[in-house]
Amino acid sequence: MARGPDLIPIDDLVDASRPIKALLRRFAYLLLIGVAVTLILIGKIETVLIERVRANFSDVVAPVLELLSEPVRLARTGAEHVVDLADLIEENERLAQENARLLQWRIFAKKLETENQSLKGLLRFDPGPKARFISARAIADVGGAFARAILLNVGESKGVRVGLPVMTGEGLVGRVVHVGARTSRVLLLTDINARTPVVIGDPPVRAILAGDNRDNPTLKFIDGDVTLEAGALIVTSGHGGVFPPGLPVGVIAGEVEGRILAQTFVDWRNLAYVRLVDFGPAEQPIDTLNQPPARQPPTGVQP
Amino acid sequence: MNQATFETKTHLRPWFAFAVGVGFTAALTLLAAAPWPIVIVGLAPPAIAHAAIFDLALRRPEAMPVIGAFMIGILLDVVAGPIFGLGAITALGAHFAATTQRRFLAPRGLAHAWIGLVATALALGAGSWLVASLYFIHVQPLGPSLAQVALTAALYPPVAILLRIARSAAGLRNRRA
Repeated sequence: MARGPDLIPIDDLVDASRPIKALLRRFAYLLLIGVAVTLILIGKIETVLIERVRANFSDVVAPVLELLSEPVRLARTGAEHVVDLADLIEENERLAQENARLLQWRIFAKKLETENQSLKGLLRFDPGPKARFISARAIADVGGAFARAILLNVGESKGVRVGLPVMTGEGLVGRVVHVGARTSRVLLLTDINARTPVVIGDPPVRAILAGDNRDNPTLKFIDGDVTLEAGALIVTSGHGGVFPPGLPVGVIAGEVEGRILAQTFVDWRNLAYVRLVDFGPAEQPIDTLNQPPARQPPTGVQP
Repeated sequence: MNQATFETKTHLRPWFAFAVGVGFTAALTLLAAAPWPIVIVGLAPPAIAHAAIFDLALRRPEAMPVIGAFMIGILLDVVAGPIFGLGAITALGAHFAATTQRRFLAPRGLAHAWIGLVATALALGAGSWLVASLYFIHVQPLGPSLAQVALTAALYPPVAILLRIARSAAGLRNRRA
């Protein structure tokens, strides 16, 4: 009868693995830091691959993040209600005054609307396709100390695609940079990598709104030698096709250490719900370089 | 299962401790990523994961071995953070700080551990700031990093108490150095 190979006793195997285990334990930190540094280098070179991994993982953990963000949302709403109750009388007076002012504006707007309609009729003006809105909830703050980004609970399944502008009722928030099946990642205007072509004031002055991970982004490459006043309105210019023209961004806050800072309309600490605005297919480039700048909403018009 | 039966399965205890420690820290990491209304300048969320890694590596090393810290760091990188890999390095840094200081800090109370955590968070914040500034070739604002350190330091005591409750619920006692 043929004999099988001699089996090595299990105790000998365990003894043999001990030096390897000790070696691994001793150099575990170095080994793992080496892996982490390699990941940093891969992340720098293969950005698309890393973002694809992140998007897929975000889809997996999205239900957990949604569940965990729910008590946060409830706590936030509760706190807001308490503050609202405390300011009820003051808020009522303010709203009464605002209502009186808006009623005057309404008459003015009606007059402008009639005038606008008749002028459009004369010009046979084609307003183009209407914008499509997708409402979404921020389920995670995925920025950290060195980035400004949020994760939304809508993705490709809801028609979200890369490049869509993201807004709140106040103004522009940022744009979609990565999309998963059920989640999407939004780069905020204040992120260090965000560059937004804008126009400022009237007459319009072109500039680039550059984020630097602070709450107030900086205005750079201001067109011409002009003096910009604090409070001047900033809207997107539409140049480069990053954003459509005319989206409200903020106002000029002032000059600090030679930098012209913008005060955005969006309150970055209360980004609970946002709207993604689809103005049309991404393949259609927005060529506004040879077009006149967008007409801006009135700022100080007295009816 | 009674206590006697549980104690006999000693070979399962490290794995159980690992699952409890890393699982609980992962849950805290995801909770910290929720969109909290941060009122301190810069919108920087606290590094809850680092606080949890530090505390577990200090009090119950079996529940947070170095590979566990690395896994939590990768989770941090996948969920958030602009630099993929930086979360893993800082998580390993928090683990290393706790491991090297364990002999001194573990027999002492929460106040000593808190001082250790503040020093570690400051060192990790400074290191991350340096790496981020080099990575983006742009000097990063210090405000968000300092705010993150302050928030992490402020939230460490509740995190430590929460982890103590979780450990005691799972039947894992603190280990003295």
